[in-house]
Amino acid sequence: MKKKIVGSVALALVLLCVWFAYKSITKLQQKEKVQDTQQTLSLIGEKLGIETLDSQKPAVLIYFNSECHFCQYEVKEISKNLSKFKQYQLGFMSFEPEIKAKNFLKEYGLQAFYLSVDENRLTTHIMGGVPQVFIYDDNSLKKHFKGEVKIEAILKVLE
Amino acid sequence: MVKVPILSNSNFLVFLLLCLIAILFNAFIHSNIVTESVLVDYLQNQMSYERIYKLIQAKEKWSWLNYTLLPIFYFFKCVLLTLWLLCGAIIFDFKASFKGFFKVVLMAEFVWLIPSLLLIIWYGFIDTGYSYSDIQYFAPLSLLSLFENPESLDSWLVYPLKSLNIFELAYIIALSVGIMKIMKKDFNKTLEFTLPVYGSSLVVWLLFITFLSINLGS
Repeated sequence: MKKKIVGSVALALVLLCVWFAYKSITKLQQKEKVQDTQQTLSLIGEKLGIETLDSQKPAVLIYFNSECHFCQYEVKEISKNLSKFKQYQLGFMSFEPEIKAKNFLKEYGLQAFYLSVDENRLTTHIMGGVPQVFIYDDNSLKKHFKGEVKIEAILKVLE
Repeated sequence: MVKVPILSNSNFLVFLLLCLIAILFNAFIHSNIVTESVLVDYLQNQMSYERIYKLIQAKEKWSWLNYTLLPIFYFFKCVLLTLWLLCGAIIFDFKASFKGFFKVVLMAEFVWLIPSLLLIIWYGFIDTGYSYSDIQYFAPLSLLSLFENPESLDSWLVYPLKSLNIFELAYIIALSVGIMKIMKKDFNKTLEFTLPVYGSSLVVWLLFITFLSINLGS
């Protein structure tokens, strides 16, 4: 009887391991696709449905959420140094409801830089947590920062 | 530390000693190896000094949690592994008690203090010009150490490559010797038991952690 119970548990564990492996492989394939999409500004713009981006101009895209305190710091710093971003295309994207994200950006005077993107498209083409900063020049991804990043580090990439 | 009924007096003393040494090593590493300057060097390319110091302050504020969780971690790890070995004993028709296996697992757990001790000796006294990345990827006698530039690997590969090391072999031998003593069987028999039983637990654990790092990691 004991052997049967242990055997059943072992079988369940084998099935669980197969599921772990299947899910992991699927996720890795998805990550690879996402990374390919993020390589050029024109492609990520197309996938996210953003028509206002000019792929020939340098761009700084920030993926954020108003409740994350690292994002709050990032947005505050950009707002304080907005003049330094004049020559670049600046865009903020969030998976939150548009009104909430815009109200948050409004507090920092950045509502004009909000990019309206469908939540499903956004979470399909940008994986992982917030904040993330994508820096493009000559239509190609120069740097992808995960987590908060100081203004000097962003500007250094575009120098 | 609260006494737990499944721990006999001798097991409790071994458990206490294991936790004390692990906490001492951990405290030494966090105060003398992962120093403020090492963290500042590592983070300064991406974060401002003001934010780095805030992060360091938060790390110091919550360091007690690390030490509190260590005994809990060891306790659950040892209990789970003992239960796993007991399941193996049913399949292999070994007669074993929970307390006996638990003691063997506790004793074998001391093997895992060696990598921490090596880290302390290596970066504390030999190679003192290290970076935070060096500490992150420090995995002596492991598959990871065969890679010249481990930073270039996908992050989900790091844990399994770090985990497949000589200490796993030492741990399997320690478990086999312990089981040999409590069951009065010869070493080959207990090694034939330990290899597939512990090996299967290691495979499940590595798959689980890899699954988490792929699915939850950025």
